[in-house]
Amino acid sequence: MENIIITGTPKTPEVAFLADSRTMKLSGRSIPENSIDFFAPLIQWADGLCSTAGFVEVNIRLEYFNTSSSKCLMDLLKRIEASAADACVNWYYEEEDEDMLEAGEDYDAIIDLPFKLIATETL
Amino acid sequence: MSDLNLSDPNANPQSRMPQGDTIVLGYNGVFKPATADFLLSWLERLNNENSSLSRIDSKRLFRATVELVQNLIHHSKSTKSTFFVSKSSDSSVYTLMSSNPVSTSQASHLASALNSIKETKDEELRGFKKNVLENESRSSHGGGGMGLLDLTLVSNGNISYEFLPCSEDLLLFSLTVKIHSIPS
Repeated sequence: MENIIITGTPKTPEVAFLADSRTMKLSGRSIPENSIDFFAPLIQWADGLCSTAGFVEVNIRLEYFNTSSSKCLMDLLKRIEASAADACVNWYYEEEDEDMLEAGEDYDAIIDLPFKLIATETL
Repeated sequence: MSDLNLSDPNANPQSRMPQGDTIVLGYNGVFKPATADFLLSWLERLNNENSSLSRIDSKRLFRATVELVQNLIHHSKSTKSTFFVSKSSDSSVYTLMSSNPVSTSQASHLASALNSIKETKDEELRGFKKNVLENESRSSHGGGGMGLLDLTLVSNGNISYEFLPCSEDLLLFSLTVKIHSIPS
């Protein structure tokens, strides 16, 4: 299984989906006009990784995401939740950013996976 | 579709800018992804240069701009639309206004969605959004109608709209969102 590594842009996140370490990381900002196009290959990759049992770590360190991306993130996390993998999610947010904390809390309430909300000084 | 007559003060949202405000960013024309890129980079530059705005206020302003401008890209198609940001004289309130022509059936759908959000109590809005996030099917561009809800939350309910006549078959949908800066 090949890794997915994508450099971040002003509208799309940096992606590091690594098969060997079974980790997925999204960082930066996710505000593309059409998030489905961006997230579809990532969700497909996650399906492949999570089809085998084992630990998987998801790290989300997003500065911003638009509502279109929020649905795609939900899709990604729901697929991981429904898979064979033993997954956990680390949700990073800037310590003063209540909006991103609340967003993390909302995903935590919906998705039945171990969820850590981690405050950081900067993302 | 008919073009907007922006010389008509009723159809020109800029003419309804809050008194005493200064425009910090404005665009009238067809909205494309490149337009959004330009407006967002311009706004970021302004935010970086404006030390009176807290990091969180800057983020809220940016987030609301993203939703409003992307709404225009998705829904105004090839018709001219308007977006501007103004700030009050003491820089405590930022007013964002978007306007685009819509058909009467689109107007009815928008009014229904916005009234439904308006009727929801503040403390229930987050639950409403969570429910949409979890259950609603998405739209073709992915949002699933969450944009208006998100704008309501990010502005703490300071969102209003109106429909103005602009041609025989179209109404001008004008959406106003106010971001109040948090005192530091």
